Amino acid sequence: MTAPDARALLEVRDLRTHFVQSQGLFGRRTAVVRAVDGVSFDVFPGETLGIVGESGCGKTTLGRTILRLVEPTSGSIRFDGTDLLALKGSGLRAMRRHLQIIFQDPFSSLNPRLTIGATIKEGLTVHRLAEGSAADTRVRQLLDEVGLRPEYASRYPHEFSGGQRQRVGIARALAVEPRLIVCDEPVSALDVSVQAQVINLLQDLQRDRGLTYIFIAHDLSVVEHMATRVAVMYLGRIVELATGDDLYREPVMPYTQALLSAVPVPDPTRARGRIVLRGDVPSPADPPSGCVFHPRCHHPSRDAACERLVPPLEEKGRDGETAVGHGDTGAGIVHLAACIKQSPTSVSAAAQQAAGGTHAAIRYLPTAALGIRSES
Amino acid sequence: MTDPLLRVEHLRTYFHSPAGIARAVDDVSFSIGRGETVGVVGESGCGKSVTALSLLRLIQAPGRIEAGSHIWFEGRDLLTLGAEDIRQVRGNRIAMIFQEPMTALNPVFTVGDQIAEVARVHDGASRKAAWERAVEMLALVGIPSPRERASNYPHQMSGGMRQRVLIAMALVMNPALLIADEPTTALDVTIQAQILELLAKVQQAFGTAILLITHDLGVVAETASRVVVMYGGQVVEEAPVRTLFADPGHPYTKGLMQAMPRVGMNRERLTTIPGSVPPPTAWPTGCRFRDRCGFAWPRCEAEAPALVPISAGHAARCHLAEVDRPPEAAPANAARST
Amino acid sequence: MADTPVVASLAIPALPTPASSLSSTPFSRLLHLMWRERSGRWALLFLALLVAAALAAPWLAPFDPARPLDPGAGAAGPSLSHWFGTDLTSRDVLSRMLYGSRVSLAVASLAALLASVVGLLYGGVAGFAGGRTDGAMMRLIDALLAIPRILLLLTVLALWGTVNVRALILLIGLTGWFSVARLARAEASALREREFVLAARALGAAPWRVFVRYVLPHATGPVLVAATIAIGQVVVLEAGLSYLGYGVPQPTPTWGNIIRDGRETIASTWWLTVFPGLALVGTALAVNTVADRLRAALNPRQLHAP
Repeated sequence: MTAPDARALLEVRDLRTHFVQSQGLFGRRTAVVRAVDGVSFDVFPGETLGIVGESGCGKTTLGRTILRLVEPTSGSIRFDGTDLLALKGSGLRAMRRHLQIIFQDPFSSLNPRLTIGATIKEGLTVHRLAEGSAADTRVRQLLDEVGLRPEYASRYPHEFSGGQRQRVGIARALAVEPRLIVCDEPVSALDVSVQAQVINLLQDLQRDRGLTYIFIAHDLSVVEHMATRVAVMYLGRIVELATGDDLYREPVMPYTQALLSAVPVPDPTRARGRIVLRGDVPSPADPPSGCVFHPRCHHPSRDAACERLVPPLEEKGRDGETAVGHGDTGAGIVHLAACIKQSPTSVSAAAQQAAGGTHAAIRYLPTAALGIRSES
Repeated sequence: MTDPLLRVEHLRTYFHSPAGIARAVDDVSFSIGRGETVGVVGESGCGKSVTALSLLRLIQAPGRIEAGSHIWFEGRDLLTLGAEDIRQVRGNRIAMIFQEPMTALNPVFTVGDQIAEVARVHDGASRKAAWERAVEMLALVGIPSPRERASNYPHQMSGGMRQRVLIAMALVMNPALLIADEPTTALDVTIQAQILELLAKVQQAFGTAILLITHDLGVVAETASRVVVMYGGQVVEEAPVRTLFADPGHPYTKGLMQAMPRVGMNRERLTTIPGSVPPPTAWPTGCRFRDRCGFAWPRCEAEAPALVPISAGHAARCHLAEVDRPPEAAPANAARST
Repeated sequence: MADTPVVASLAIPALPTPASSLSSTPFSRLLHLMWRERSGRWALLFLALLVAAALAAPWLAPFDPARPLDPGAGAAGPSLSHWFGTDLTSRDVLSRMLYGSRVSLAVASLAALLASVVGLLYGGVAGFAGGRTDGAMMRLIDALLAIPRILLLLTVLALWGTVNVRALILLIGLTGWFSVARLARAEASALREREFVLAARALGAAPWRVFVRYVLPHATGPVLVAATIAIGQVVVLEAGLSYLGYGVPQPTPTWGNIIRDGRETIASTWWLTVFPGLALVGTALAVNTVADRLRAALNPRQLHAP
C-alpha cells in the first residue's frame, strides 16, 4: 500500500443526528432519539475505516448522515475541503458523485422495475457521464468488473441471488466513479461463502481504483479483515478508535472488550472465560447519564464518577507514555478510547473524586477472557 | 450411541408446486442422545430449517413429509401419530424456539400469559398455579424482576429478553429435547453470548438435549458436542465438534471454514466457494456439491456419494473419503491461514 | 477474475432459472399470475368478450338500435328474431344493449382512467413531498371526501340539464379521484423510505426523476386495482344515473336507459329489466374478480419471487 496523503478526505466534527418521536395519545410527549450524538473522526484517502457496534448504536444513521440522506441536527462534514452541509440542490447532487453508498439488504436496495443494466446506468445518466451506446458499453464493463456476465444487463433483480444483487449494488455505486464509498453492512445479509466473494471483490476494487471505504458492520471478524482503522460505536458515540491490530490486540474500552469476548470463535479447543454483559442495550431515546456504558460495565474501577462524568475520547497510547503514533500511515494514528478509568486519562483523580469517584484509573486488560495469547 | 433420544431415518420433505418438486430435505438421517447438544450447520437453502419443522410435523401444504421417513422418539415414530398425540408431544416433550422472537410471540397477550398457557394446556394447571410457574420460569431464564415483567407485553421487551421468554415457554414442561432454530441470528453479539450461556446453563441443570440449528460455525464450536453439516438437502458431514474443526472431511465444510474471516487471522484474501447454492427443484446429478467443489472429478457427476465413515463418529458424503485420504490438493486461491 | 479455481468456467455464478419459463417482464408475469386461477380466467374471458362485442357492435347488432321496427306494436318478449325482445317503441333490445355496452364501458373506463390519473398524481406528489405540503394537500382531500358523491353528481346534473357523454365522463371522473389520491399518497409515503429510493437519491438523481422513475411505478399497483374496481362501480353508477333520468339522454342506448324504459311495466316487460340487469351484474362481478386477482398478483412476493 502506498503511503497515502496525510490530509483527510473526510472530516467529521461533532456530528449529531437527533430524531424527534412523538409519543402518548395525542402526540403530546416527545422523545428525542439521539441516534448520532457527537461523533468526530477523519477518514484518509485509500484507507478503510471500519465502524462496528450493535443495534441502536447509530452506525447506519451515521453512514446515511454523512451522505446527507438523513439530515444532521448539528455538526460539520467536510469532504476534500468542501463543507457538505452548505451545499444545496444541484450543488449537493453534483457532489453525490464522489460519495456513494452500498446498502445492506440486496433485496430492497434495487428497484424491482428496472433491469439491472438500467439501474447501473442511472448514475451515468444523472451525471451525464455517458449516453447511448457509450453508456451501454460502460454498463457491460462494470458488470464484468464485479464478476457478473455482461448479458445479464437486461434481466430484472428478482432473477438473481442475494450475492449477485449485492454485486449489482456495487456496480451501481462504481458507475459514477466515487472516491469514497460508505458500505453499510454490505455482507450481513449474505451467507458465509457468498460473503467471502463479496469481501474479496470489495478489496480488489479498492486496490484497483484507489477507493476509500467507510465499512459499517456488526460482525467484528469481517471488520477486522477489511479495515485499517476501526471505530467502535455505542449509543450514538464513538467509544474507541484505533488501528485494527491495536483494537483487537489491546481493546481499551470495556465495551470493546466485552464485544470481542462475545464473538464466538470457530475453534472448539479455545477454552476461555468470557465477559458476559448484564442487561440489554439501552434505548437511544433514553441514554444513561455520564458514560453511556456504565450500567453494564465490568471494569473493576467503575464507580459513581462514571455515572456523572462524560468520558472524553482521548489518546490511550501505552500506559505511562504520552500519545504514540501507531500504524504505518504516517498520519499520527493513535489509539483513542472514552473511559476515565482506563489510564492514561486526562480526567484528573481530583476531578473524579469531586464527582463521587472512589477508585483510581488503572490499565485493565482481561487477556484470558479475550482469548489473547501473550505472544501475538 | 446406545438408545438415542431422537433418531431420524431417511427423512424426506418435498414441496410440490406447479413449477416442480422442491426436495428441501432429501434423505436425512441423524440421531441425538440424551442431554447432548447437536449442531446442524448449513447455509440458506440447505434444508436445515425444514428439517427442524419436520421433526415436529409443522410442515404445511404444499410441503409433505414423504413416505419412508421415520422419526423415532421415546419409542414411537412421530410420523405415525395422530393429531392429538403429536400435540401432546409438541411443547411438552419436544419444544422449539425460533429465530425471530418478535414474530413468535403473540403481541396481544402478556408474556406471563403466554408462558402460563403452556402449563395450562399440557398440565391442566389452574390459572394461579400456571401463573406462578410462569414467574418461576422467567426467573430461571434470568429476567430481572420476573413478577413485574410477567405482566409485560412483548413489545415492551428487547430482542434478547423476548428470546429468553421464548426459552422459558419452551422449558415449562421440562422437555427432553429443545430444538433451537437460529436462536441468536437476529440478536446482537453481546446478547447472543448471554443466550448461549443461558442455554448451556439450562442443559446442565435439566439435562435437556438441544438441537441447535445455525449458519455460524463459531456458535457451533462453542456450544455443540457433535455437528451435522447440511448441503443440498442432505447431510454431507457428521462429526464430534473437535474432529470437525481439526480435520474436516468434506470439501464444503473445508470451504466454509476457510471462507470465514476470523479475528486474529492475517489480512489476506478469503478463500471463497465459487458459484451459489442450486435451487431445490433442480439438484445436480451425482454429488450436489460438485459444481462448486475444487476437488471434483468425473466420478462425482456419475455417481452420488454415500455417507462414508472416516473414523469413530465421523462420516462424510464424498468420494474422496472412501479412497485413502489423498494429500491436500489445495485450490488455486487458498490462503495459508493458521 | 484472477483467482479462478479448478472449475474455471464456473467462476461467474450461473443464473438460477426462474420459476416459470415465461419471459420475465413484470407485465407478462402479471398476466400469467392472473390467468392461473380459474376465477381469474373466466372473468378475463368474459370481459374480453364484452369488449369485443362492444367494439364490433356495428357488425354484430342485427338491427339499428334507434329505429323502431314496427311502430304500432309496442314491446314484445324474446323471440327467435329478437333474442332479447323489443322495447316500448319496438326497438330491438339486443342491438340496443350491444350499442349500449359501448357507452357504458366507455364512460366507465374513461372516467376511471381520469380519476386514477388525477388521484395518482395528486396523492403521489403529496406523499413524496411529505411534511407540511403533504398535510395541506391531504386536508383538502379530507374535505372533499366528506361530500357524498351521488348527491354531488345529481345536483350538478340536475342544474346542468342534459349532458352529453363527454361531460358525464368528466363529471364522474372528477368526483371520483379523492380516494385514489389517499391510496396513492399512502404508497408514495411508504416508498419514500425504501432503500432503492434512497439509493436513487444517493446517486444524485433530482427529485422529479426519483418521483417519476422510482415512486410512481410502484404506487401504480394499488391504484390500478382501485381503478379496476372503479370501472365496475361506474358502470353501475352510470346505469343508476340513466335510470333516474340524469344520465345519457335518449335515444342513445345505455343499459341504464333500457331499464328505465321498462321501469313502469316490470312485470309485463320483464326482459327490459332482466337482460340489462344481468349484464350489469355480470360485468360488475367480472371486474371485481379481475381486480381481486390483480391485487393478489401484484403482491410483491408473488410478482418478484425467484
